[in-house]
Amino acid sequence: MSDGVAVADVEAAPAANPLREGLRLPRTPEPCTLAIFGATGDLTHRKLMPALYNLSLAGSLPAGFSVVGFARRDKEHETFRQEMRESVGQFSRNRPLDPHVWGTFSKALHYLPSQFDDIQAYHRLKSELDRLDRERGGGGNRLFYLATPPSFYGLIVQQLGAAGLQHGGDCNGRQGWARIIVEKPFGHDLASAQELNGQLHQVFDESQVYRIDHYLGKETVQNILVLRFANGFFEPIWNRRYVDHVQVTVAEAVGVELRGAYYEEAGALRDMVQSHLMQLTTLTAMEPPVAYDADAVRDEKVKVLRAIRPITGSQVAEFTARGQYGAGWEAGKPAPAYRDEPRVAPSSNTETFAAIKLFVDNWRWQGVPFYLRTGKHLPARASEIVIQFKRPPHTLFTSGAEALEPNFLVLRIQPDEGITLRFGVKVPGQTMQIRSVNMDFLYGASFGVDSPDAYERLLLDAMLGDSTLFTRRDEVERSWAFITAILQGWKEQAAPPFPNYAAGSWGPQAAEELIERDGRSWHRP
Amino acid sequence: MASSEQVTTVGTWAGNNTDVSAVQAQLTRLWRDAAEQAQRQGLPAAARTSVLTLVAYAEDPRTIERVSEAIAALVEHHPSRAVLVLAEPGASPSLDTEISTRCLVARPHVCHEQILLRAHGTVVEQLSSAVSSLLLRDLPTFLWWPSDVAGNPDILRRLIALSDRLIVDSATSADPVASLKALSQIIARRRGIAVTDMQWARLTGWREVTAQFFDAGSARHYLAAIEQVRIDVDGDHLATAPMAGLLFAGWLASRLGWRPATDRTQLEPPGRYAVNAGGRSIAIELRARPNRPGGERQLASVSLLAGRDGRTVSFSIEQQTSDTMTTRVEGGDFPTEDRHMQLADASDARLLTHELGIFGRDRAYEEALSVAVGLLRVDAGAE
Repeated sequence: MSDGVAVADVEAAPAANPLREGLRLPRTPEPCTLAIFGATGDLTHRKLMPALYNLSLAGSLPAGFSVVGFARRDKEHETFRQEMRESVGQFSRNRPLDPHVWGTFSKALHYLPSQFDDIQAYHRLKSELDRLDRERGGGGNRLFYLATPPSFYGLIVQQLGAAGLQHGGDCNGRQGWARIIVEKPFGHDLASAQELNGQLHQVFDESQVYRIDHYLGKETVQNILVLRFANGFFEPIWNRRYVDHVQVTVAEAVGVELRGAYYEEAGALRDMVQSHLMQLTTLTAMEPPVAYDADAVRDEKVKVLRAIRPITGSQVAEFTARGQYGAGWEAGKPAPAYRDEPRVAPSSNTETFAAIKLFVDNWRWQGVPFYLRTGKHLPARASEIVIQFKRPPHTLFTSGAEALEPNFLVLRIQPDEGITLRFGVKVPGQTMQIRSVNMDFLYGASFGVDSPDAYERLLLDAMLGDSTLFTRRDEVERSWAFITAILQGWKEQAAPPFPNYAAGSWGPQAAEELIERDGRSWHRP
Repeated sequence: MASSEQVTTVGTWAGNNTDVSAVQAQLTRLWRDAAEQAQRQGLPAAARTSVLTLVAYAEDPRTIERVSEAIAALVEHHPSRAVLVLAEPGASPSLDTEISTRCLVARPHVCHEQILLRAHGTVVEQLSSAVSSLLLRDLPTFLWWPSDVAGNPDILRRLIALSDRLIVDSATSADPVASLKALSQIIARRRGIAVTDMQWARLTGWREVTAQFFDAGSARHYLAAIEQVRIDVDGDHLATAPMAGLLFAGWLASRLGWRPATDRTQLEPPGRYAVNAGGRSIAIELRARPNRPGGERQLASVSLLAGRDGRTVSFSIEQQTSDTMTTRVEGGDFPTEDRHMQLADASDARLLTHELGIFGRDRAYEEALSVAVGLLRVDAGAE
């Protein structure tokens, strides 16, 4: 039982809310105001606003929470609210929209039509934030979200600094906090990532910066750490003595759809490998952190990135494969070639598929290859990590043993999040016949609580000041250093004869050869 | 909470005057038949996932029906074995058994098996040995006691001895004093078992919203200035209504360090309680509010009145519809706009799903219960 809150304590309010202790929903942040730059864009409509509404529905947003939409288009508060209502109604995981909850939530939404390069607009934003602190109880806490095209990031950060918005507001003598969420991509190569980080650090301290990669907000990605470090029997065999190799696959069934212009500049390596696949790789390969907190976890991830052997120059021919889809089929329907997609150059050499064989040169993983692959228009949407174990050192059972597959552990990120363990068993009968069987575990089959959307988790974490699931500066730059070397190697080599795989197939022949050269094959999700 | 996926019954079996080893054999046979059928259809034989055993006991067929419906909705979330016991102590001795095995249509390895034991006469007294042999090995056992917790102490004690977790529902209590006493004794006597309460789970949303009033540092000052608490509970009169209100009052008091006044020389009027906060007296008032459909025995509204600097600030929460609530702050320098929020689904299945995910002790519940006992001046000592 907590100590009594006596009258004498009236002037000194308890530092923590005693009613929070023992609550089953402990994750409600302090009151704050979220300012979204690019509030009329796709990300706001499809992800941010549905996530905020779902948090509101769950009672996870604080009473003094407000949103200020900051964007170039001219419109009134009410128009903005109406547009957001339509988006939430269309994209929220909780539909239909609850009119009572929406009624409350919509009052928190405000709009400020502004140009990103107009310093006066930032002073108006500051006045608006101060007003919301006074009228809605925002506590002087501000969270800025960069949901604009990346080319505006530097400008917005600079203007925020010029307007003094890198500091929280003053609220009854208490200084609130200010944080900034930066949406990926964080640059397009090492130099641009360093430049962006430099611009951010001219205004904000690293502890205020939250670089979001929504993959880390997925429950099953976080579960990689739980699986590895909350169980006693995985870690002893999670190393070069027992693991033959690791495969990381992030396959997309769709093509580039309407993102042709963006994709032309990005490609699979920048768009997926630098972020999502490297995250999965570091979480799989990292050492146990000393604590589950932001810096301890990220320190270990950075160590993995430091240990990854660079792939430079002509090595790209041996350690990587790239592809671009030609015409084919998607879910039984004809799919156009990448070069025929809207806003894609007819002679484009942008890769829509990338495969990499990499080594983590440290004590745990020396000599164990990690095979990474991602691509568009593959036969299935699947994200998974396969840990393939070495065969037993001695073949005891001769009959049928040659057909026995090695043991493997599959961590499925999506869809059907779960774990599969494959091992051999004796087929009932007089002979010693052995067959491989799967032992499946499905997260969705064991827990009743629906997983929150990744953006819900990450927005809440940022409001709570927990940056464990966000990417740190050194992590971003290490990752880009590895990717930039491959990009440079590809630039120095002639591009393969694109297109080199049909939409609906598992990628180019070069990807098969990349792994088959080592006497291994890709796991089929 | 209905299951969002289609469930199919894979096999059924029923027997009269059965012995429990036959039940185990029949279960094995049912799953083997299902595997053979899958093989004939060219489907892969997959391993099943088991998470826990859920045991439930009732003496009323309608309660067992309610339990069975809630468990059926859990197939996709908690693939498990459920052992349901319907006891008829007055009948001639026999043990009849019904088994059903069910799987999700889309994910045939997500399955659930339900064993209904109809225990008659003196067999009821021997139930724990039958139930014991049906528990899944090395997995936790949850005992769901859907009836009045004070109703059948001997059988409850024997089933507790087999279990890791006890889930009660104090909303079913016919006599709050007796229930509080029984619950306090179970917790005091615990031998490794953790106890929670579905009625407590129904208060989660109310507790969360109450806590939110005081998340802002400027509002937290008012916690020390609360003078009066008013809790309205749906019900025609207090005698049948107060468990939700008592638990809520107990929670508030335990978190804020308020203690039931010990210097009471006379009984307060029904529903009125005094607590002591560092020398200050705070009045807690529970009131019955005429029943609304679906709201029986649940919280209808809560108001906290705090006096500071000569002004009274009221923090209030009111249930508006069956699934929405509104919060309001009046007085003081606070934003005055009402907030509307959704109340979480409070169906048995939803509550049970959450309870099955909790393995440890819920100290906040135990402390709330302890204060509630103090408010009612229940002697929670030895039986």
